[in-house]
Amino acid sequence: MKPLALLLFLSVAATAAEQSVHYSVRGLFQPDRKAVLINAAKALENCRLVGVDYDTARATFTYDDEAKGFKKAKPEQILQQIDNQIRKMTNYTFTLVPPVALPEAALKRIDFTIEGLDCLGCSYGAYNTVATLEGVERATANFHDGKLIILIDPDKTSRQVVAEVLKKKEIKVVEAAPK
Amino acid sequence: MKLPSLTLLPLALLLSQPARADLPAFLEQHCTKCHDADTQKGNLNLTALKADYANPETFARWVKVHDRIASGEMPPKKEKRPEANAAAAVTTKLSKVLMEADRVRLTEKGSTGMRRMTRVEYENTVRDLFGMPGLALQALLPADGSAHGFDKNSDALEVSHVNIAKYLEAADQALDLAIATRPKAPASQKVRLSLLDRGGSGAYLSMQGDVITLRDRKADPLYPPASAHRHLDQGSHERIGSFETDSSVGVFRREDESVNYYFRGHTTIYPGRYRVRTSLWSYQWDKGQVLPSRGTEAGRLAVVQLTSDGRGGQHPNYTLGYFDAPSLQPTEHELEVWLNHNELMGFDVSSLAPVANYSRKDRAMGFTGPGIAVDWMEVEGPLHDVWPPRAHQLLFGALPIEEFIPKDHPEVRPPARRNWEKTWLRVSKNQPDPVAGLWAVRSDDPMVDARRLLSAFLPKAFRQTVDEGSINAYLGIVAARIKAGECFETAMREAYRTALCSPAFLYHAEPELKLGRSALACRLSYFLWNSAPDDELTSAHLEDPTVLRAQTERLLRDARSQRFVEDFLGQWLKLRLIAANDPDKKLYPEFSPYLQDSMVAETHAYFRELIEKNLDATHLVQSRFAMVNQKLATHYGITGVTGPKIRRVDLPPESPRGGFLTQAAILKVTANGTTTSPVVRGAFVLDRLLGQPPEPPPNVPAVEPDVRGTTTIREQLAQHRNNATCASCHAKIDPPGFALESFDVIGGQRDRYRVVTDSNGDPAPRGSIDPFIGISFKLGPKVDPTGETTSGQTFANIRDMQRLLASKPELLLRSLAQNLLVYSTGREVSFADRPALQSILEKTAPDNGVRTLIHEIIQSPLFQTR
Repeated sequence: MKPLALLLFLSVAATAAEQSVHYSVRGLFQPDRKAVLINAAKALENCRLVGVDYDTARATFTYDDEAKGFKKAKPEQILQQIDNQIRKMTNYTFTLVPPVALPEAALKRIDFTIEGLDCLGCSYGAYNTVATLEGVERATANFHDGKLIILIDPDKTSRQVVAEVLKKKEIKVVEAAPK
Repeated sequence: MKLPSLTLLPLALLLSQPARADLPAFLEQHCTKCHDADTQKGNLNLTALKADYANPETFARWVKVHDRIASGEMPPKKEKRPEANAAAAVTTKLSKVLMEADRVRLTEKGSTGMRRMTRVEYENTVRDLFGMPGLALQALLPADGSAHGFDKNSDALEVSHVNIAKYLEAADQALDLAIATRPKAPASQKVRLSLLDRGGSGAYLSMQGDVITLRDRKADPLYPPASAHRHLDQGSHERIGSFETDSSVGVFRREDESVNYYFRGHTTIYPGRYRVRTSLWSYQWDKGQVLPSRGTEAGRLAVVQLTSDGRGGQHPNYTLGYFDAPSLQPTEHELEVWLNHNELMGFDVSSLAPVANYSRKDRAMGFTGPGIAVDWMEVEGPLHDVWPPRAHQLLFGALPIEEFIPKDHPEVRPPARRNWEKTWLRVSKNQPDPVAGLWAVRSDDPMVDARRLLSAFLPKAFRQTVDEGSINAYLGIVAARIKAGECFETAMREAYRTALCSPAFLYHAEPELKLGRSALACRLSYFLWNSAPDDELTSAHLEDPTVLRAQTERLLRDARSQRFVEDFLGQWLKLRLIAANDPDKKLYPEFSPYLQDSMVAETHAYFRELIEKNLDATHLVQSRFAMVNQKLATHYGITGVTGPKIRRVDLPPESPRGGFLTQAAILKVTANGTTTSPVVRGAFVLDRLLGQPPEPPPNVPAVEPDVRGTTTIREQLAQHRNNATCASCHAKIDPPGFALESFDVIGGQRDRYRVVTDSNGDPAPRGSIDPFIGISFKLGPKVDPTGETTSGQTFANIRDMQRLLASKPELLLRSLAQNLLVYSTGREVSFADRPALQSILEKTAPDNGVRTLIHEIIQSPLFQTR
C-alpha cells in the first residue's frame, strides 16, 4: 500500500453505519473562515462536518457508508466525494487534502508582515500564494493584523524560498527592523 | 424643337440661327476674350462648346454659362459691363433652349430613375414590417454610394452580386428572429448587475484604484479603495466574493483605448425587447471621503455587440443616451431597448476627465476629484406581450405551432433551427430557457394557407397591390419546396426570403410619371420616416392636398421622423463624417466622445426646432438661441446649463453660436483634426448652405497648413491666390472660411491658433477646460477673421459674416429646398425644374419657414412626379 493510501486508510475510523474521516483543510486562512466552512457544510449530502479545528486546520467528517458515492468507496474516493461537494459549495475557496503526516513539533513557523493586506480578498490572495508551495503544511493570512503565518517542513523549504515567491508575486513584505 | 437638331452643332452654327442671333454677338463681345481656344480661362472654350444638350457634361456647361451671366458674375467686374437688357435677352433665350432640351430629356428618361432602398431604408423597412425595432441589418449590407450629396439618388444605387448575397443574409437574419420556434415565449428574467460582475473591466480596475466600491455613500470597509498597494490577486478576490457585495461602484476613470465598462452579468440570449433600469449619482472623492459633487455628471449607457471571442469592440456599437448622475442623489433611469443576440450593456463616466489612479501614489486614496457611482443595473426580458410575436403572426397568422416529430413525418425534412443557446457567449447571470423538442408551424391545408398568408404579406412588404400572377409565382416556390420534401414552415420561409430579396421589395415602385396614391405614400414615408408607409398613410386620399398636408403633419409628429432628421443631416451637413478623425490630443485635450455626441445631438435638435417652430431660413446661419447640454454649453462659454439633456437656451447678444454655421459639429466635420482650412470651410458654406458649389480645383498643389505655427493658413492662401488660376474661385470660397477661422477643429472659439511647438507661442490659459486635463499646447499666431466678399462687402468677424449670409434668405431657402428635393425625390434638381422650384419658394415666402418649405415641397409637382 502506498503512503497516501495508507494515510487515508488510517484516517477512516471503523464504525458501523456512519464512518468518520479527518482531513486537512485548505482555505482556513482567517478565524472567521471556520464559520463560513461550517455554514457551507450544512448542505453536504450523505456526509456531514462534525468538527473543525482552526489551529490545526483539520476537519472531521462523517459519512454513510451505504449511501450513494460512499458505498464500497476507497479512502481516496471518499476524500474526493466530500471535497467535491465542499469545493462547489464554497466557490472553490476550501479544499480538503490528506492530513499532514508530520508531527506538529516538526513544523517550523515563519511570520511575515505584508504591506497593503487590507481586505479578505487580499488575505486570500496572500494565502493562496503560499498555501500550495512544496513544504508548506499550513498557513494563515489575516488582514486585521496584516500577518502571513506559515508552518513549513524545514526539510523541504525555507523562509528564503517563500520570501522569493512573495517577491515574484509583487507581495511586499515589511522587513523587520534590525535588532 | 427637336433635340437632334440641336446636337453636335458647333457654336457658330448654332448661334447663326435667327432665334439666337444676339447670343454670338454677346459672347463675342463679352466672353470669348477669356474663353476662346487660346486662353480657355477656367478651362472653358466657348468657341468649341457644342450645342450637344443630350450630353450631360455639355449641357451642364451651358447651364453654368447661363447662370454666370444671369447672376452678373460674368463678365467680371473689371471688364466692360453689358447692357442690362442685352444680358437679360441672352439669358432668356438660352434659358428657353436649355429648358426645352431638359424637358425632352426628362420626358424620354423620366426624372427619377429606378432606385433601390438604401441600407438605412432597408433596415428601417424590415424593422417596421416585422415590428422588431433595433434589429441590426445595416452592418450586413454594403455601403451605398452617393450622388448629388445624397445616397438616395438613383445614380448611386446600383445592385451587384454582393448586394444580392447580403440581402439573402439579411433576410435570413430577419426571418430567424421573426419566426417563433417554440410553443411559448422564453421566460422573462430580471437580473441585477454590477459593473464588477465577472468578466468585465470593473473588477480589474477596482484592484488598482480606478474603480472603488461604496456603501451608504462611504468607502466600502469590506473592500476598501486601493491605496499604496494594489489589491492582491483578482482571482482570489473573485472567488472569495469581494465583487459580489451589492455595493455601489464608483468610477473615476473614463473609457479609453484600454478600458471599457461592460455589464457582463447579462449577455442577451434571445433577441427582443428588454427593460433596462439603472441608478446613478455623482460625488466628489477626497482621498477616501465622499463629498457633494461639482454638479450633475453624465453617465453613458450603450449597447455592445460581442464578437465570437467575447471581447467586443473598443467602442460601444450604439449609444442609448447620456443620463443624469446628480450629486449624492441616486437617480433611477429606465428605458426599453431592443437587444440582439450576444449584445450586452455598456457604460461610461462620460463627463469626467481622463484620469487614471493606477499609477498615482496611494492610488484611489491619494486622489481628489469627481466620480460617478452606479448603484446597480437591472435588465429584464425578453418582453413579449403576445406569443407568438407579431412578426410571426404576420408570416403565419394563427396557424398552430406544434411539436415536429420526425418519425411521424418520414417524408418531410425537419425545419432548420438557429440555436440561440449554443451560440450564446456564457459569462452571465441570465440563463437560457431552452424548449424540449422541435416545434414548427403546422398547416392542414398548406396551399390554401400559403395563398391566404402570401396574399396578406406581399402587399404589405411590397408597399403596393400585388396581382394574382405574382402571388401565384410565390405559391409556386412554396409548392416546389413542399414537393422537395420541406415542411410547410420551411417552404413558406423560402417564399418570404425570396420576397425580401425581390425587386418589388428592394426597389421603390414608381411606375407612373405622375405618382399614384401608393407611390406617393411611399415617397412621403421614405422622405419623413425613411421607411414604408403605415396602414393609415397607405389608405389616405393623398391626391387631396388637405389630406396630404394632414398626413405630412402626422408623419412629422411621429417619433419615426427623427430618422429623417438624422439621415438628412448626416448627408446634407455631412454629420456622418463626425468621427472621421480624432482631434490631435495635444492640441485639443478637452475633446471627448461625449463632446462629439453632444455636437451631433445639438445639430439634430436644432433642425428639429426649426421644423417644430417653423423658423425661417436665416436660422441656417444665425440664431438667438442654441440647443445645448452642459458639455456643449461649457464648450461654448455659456453658463447655467447642467446635465446631459439637450435643451433650448437663449444666447447672449453677441454670441455667434446658434445657427448651423457655428455649431461645433459643422466646424468639426469641416476640419481635419489638427488644423482648419478656410478653403474647406468656405467651400462647405458655398456648397451646403448657399447651394453654390465651387468648381473642382484645377491641377494646382493644395495648400498644406503649417502645423509648426510659424505662418498662418491665411498667409499661405494669400500666396496661393496670387496665382490667377486660383484667384477667381478663392475670392468666393475663402471669405466665409476666413470668418470661420475664429473656430478651431472642435468648434471652440479662438482668437489665437494653438500650437505644440516648444519655441514659439505663449502659455495657454485653461479657460473652460476641465482642471483634470493636462494642457501642453501654447498659443501661436493671432487669428484674422476679417475679409471682403466678391461684392465688396467687408466683414470684421464671424458675426458680420453671419449678418451678410442672413441677408440672403432667398439663397439659403433655395439651397435648403434643393437639398430637401434631392433627398426626397432621389434625383438632382434639373434646369427644367427651376420654375417649379421657384414656385415652391414663392409659396413658402410668407414665412420662409422650414416646416412650410417641407409642406410646399411635398405639395409640389416635383415631389409628386417621378
